[in-house]
Parts: sequence; C-alpha cells; structure tokens
Amino acid sequence: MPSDRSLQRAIVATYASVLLGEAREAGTVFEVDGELSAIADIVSGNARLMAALKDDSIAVDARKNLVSTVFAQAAPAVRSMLGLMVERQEVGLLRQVREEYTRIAEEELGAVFVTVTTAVTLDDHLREVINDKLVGDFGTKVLVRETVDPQILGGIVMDARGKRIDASVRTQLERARVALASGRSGSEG
Amino acid sequence: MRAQAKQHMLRAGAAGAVASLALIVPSLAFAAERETTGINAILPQMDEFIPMLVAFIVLVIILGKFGWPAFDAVLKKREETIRDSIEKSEEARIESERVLEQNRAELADAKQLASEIVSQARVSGEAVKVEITQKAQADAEAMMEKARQTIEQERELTAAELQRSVADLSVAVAGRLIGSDLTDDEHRRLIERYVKEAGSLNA
Repeated sequence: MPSDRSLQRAIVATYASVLLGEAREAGTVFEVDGELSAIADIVSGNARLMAALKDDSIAVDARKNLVSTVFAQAAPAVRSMLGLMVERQEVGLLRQVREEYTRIAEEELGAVFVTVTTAVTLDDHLREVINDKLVGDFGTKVLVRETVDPQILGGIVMDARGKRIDASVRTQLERARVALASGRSGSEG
Repeated sequence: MRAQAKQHMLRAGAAGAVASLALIVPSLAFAAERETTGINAILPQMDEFIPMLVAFIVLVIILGKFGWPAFDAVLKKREETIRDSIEKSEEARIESERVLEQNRAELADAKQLASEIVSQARVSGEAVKVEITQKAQADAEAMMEKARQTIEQERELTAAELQRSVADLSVAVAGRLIGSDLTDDEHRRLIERYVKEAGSLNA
C-alpha cells in the first residue's frame, strides 16, 4: 500500500479517470457511479470480505474470481478495475476512488448525483416533486438514483455528495422511542 | 482523808470513853451511899455533879479540838467530793446532750445530702434515659429516611425501565402498523409531504 499521500491521490485519480473513460464510452457514467457506491459500501461494510480480498495467502486469481462472482451484476469496467485493485493490493483505496469518480463524473455530466430511498416505488408526480426540490437546493441539473427499501418503513432518504436527509419513518420512530424512554422532555412528535 | 478523820474520831472517842469511865467509877462508889427519895432522885447532887460537869467540859473540849474538825473536814470533803461529782456529771450531761444534738444535726444533714444525691441521680438518670431515647429515635429516623431514599431511587429506576419498555413496545407496534397498514398511495403522499418539509440537501 503506497504510503505517500500525493502518490495515493495520483493513483486514486488514475483509477477514477480510467473508469470514467470506459463508462463514458458505454454511456453509463451515472450508472457506474451507482454501482461503484454500492460496491464500496459493501466492501467497507463487510470486514470478512475486505480481509479476504487483501489476504496474500489466497491466490490472486482466486480473489479476483471472488470479486467477479460477488459483483457479477456490476459493469465489466467496474469489475476489471476491482480485479486490478485486488492484484495491486489497493482495495483499501476503494472509498477514495468512489468519491473521486463521483466528483469527476458529476463534473462531466454537469449534474449532482442524488440517491433517493423510499419504501415504495415512486410515481411520476413524486419524481417531479423531488426533482424540483433538488434542483432548487443545488441550482444545477440533478440525476436521481431510485432505491426501494421497505426497511425504512416509510418516508424518504436522500443522499448526495456525502450529505443525507433522513426523513424515514424508521428514524422518526427511533427518535420517538428515545424521547419516550427518557421521559423528561415531553415534546410531542 | 477519810482514814485520817476516822483515826481522829477513834482517838477522840477513846479519850472520851476513858475520861467517862474514870469519872463514872467514883460516882458509882458514891451512889451506894446517897438517899434517893422524892425529888432528890432527879436533881443532881453537887458532889456528883461538878466532877461530871468538869469531865463533860473536858470531853467537849477534847472533842471540839480533835473530833469535830476531823469530822467536819471529813464532811466537808464528802461535800466537796459530791459537789465535784455532781458538777462533773452535769458537765458530762451537758456534753453528752451537745454531742447528741450534734449527731442529730449531722444525721439530718446526711439524710438531706442522701436525698439530694438520690434526686440528682434520678434526674441525671432521667436525662440519660431521655438522651438515649432521643438518639435511638434519631438513628431510627435516619435509617428510615435512608430506606425511603433507597426505595425512591429504586422506584425511579423501575419507572424509567418501564418507560423504556413502553416506548420500545409502542414504537415497535407503530412501526408495524405504518409499514403494513399504509397503502402505496398513502406512502407516496407521506413521501411528498416529507420532501416538501425537508431542509436543503445542499446545506
């Protein structure tokens, strides 16, 4: 793992720009961003997977195979980049690569990438409402990635550029539970 | 003193007796010769009377000189002795009365003192009893207060726990209700409301 920070930045930038180039060709710049985000979350969230991918005692090809299998639905460009990172023991840079990719991809497309999570699928009216709001917030074009997750029980979660608005019912219930349990502040929710 | 007086008296008596005897003898000799008729039996005869008188006078003189002083001395001594004894016994009586009075007074004092001590002891005993009682009461109250506080604390803890359980349960139920009871359209209306109420994502 390269320790020099500027070197690291250079490497991350390279990964990102190469990936962007390939995504541009395939016309899936935005989609790749989504996949990359998901993969980065999974890998950094799963310690065993991360450890396995970094484990020298396992053959490189086996680890590359692992990546291909786990993320079989990702774009080929993404998978090949991942394989390369495994080979070069640079899987730890995944998060930074993802952030860098988002930055240059947003620049490329002249839009802000937003991930919206709801418990049910959106209808066109809602899409319009959300789009209006986000354009109002950012002042630029907005590309929305929709995710359905019944676990949030209701409401909406919006992520963009590392910021989040959590208006999910699940979170509100949690807040209500904490307020009820403490009992002192009787703020009606 | 008495022995000496006795001796004087004995001497005087002896002398007197001898003198009388000496004088009686001649009168006895004469008595056989005299006529004893009528009044002459009683009236003294001169030849008898004068020696007798002389003898008597001698006797009186001897007695007066030796006997009487001795006798008197003895009597006087006795009187003195008796007077002394009387005085002494009087003094002793007075002294004993005084001592008796003193003893009575001391006894009275002692009794007084004793009763004072007793009443003091009673008072202090009472005081000690009161003190002990008060202390015991204070201790008991302190213990009760502490117990009350402990109970109160535990009650609060239990209440808090209960509250948490109620909160958990309520929220779980609410979650299940919202999750399953809302229709898709209701969900969407909820989403729209939240989107409109939300702050800026570009904060």
